[in-house]
Amino acid sequence: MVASFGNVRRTMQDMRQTLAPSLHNEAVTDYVELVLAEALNNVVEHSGCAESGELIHLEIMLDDRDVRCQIRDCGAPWPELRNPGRFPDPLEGDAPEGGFGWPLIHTLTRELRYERVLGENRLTLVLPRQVQ
Amino acid sequence: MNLTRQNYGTTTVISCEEDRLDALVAVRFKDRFRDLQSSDARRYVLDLSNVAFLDSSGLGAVVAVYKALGDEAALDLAGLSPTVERVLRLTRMDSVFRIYPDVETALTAREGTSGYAA
Repeated sequence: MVASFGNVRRTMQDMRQTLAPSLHNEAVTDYVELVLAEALNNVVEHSGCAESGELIHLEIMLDDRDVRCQIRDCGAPWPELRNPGRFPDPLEGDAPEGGFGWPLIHTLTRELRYERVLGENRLTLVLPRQVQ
Repeated sequence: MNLTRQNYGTTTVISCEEDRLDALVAVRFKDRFRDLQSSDARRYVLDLSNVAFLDSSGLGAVVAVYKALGDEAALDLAGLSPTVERVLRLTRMDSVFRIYPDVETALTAREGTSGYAA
C-alpha cells in the first residue's frame, strides 16, 4: 500500500472483511486490526515512505494457533525496538496524551520482532487466535 | 470530521458522527471539538455510539480535549462499543473517564458518580 493514514484505514477495513469470517472471534479481529493499524500508522509517520512514495507491504497468515503478520518497508532503519514496558499511567499526574501505541502492540502480541534485512525494515507481529 | 452538538443547560453533548476515530482524523477531531465548545458548559458528554474503531491517536485526541478543558468542564464518555471499550480498558484510560452506556443515562446521572453507570 502507498503510505498514508487514509490507506492504512482502507487496508484495515479490507483486512477486517477478509479475515473476520476465518477468525470467528470479534475480540481477536479487533486486536489484529488495532495492532496492525498502530504499526502501519507508525511506519507512515516515521519511515519516510509517505514522502518517497515507496510501498509498505503487509502480509498476514493464519495457522491453527496464531495470526502471523509481517510489515515490510524500505524506509529509514529504526534505532531499536524499545519495549516501553507499560502504558502511560493515567492516574499519575496529568492524563497522558500519547504513547499508547507501542504498549498496545506489546500487550496484544505474543511475538514482536524487528529486523533490518537487505535495506528493508521487517516487523513481525504474532497474535494468538484464542483470547484468554 | 463530523461532530454535532446538543446543549442541555450546562451539559453539552457532542456526538461523533464518524465511525472511526483514528490517526487520519485525530487532529481534526480536536479542532472540531474546540469549535463546538461553549463557555456555558460545565460538562461535556462525548457520544461515541457511532464509533466502531478507536486507535491510540484517537484516544490521544480525546485525552488532549480532556486536558484542555482542565477545571473548566468535565468530559464524560457515552455509548462505547465493545471494540472501543477494549481500547480504553487495555490502556487503563477507563479509570480516567466517567463512562456511560448511552447519552440518556449520562444526562440523567448525578454529577460526582464515577466509573461505570447502568
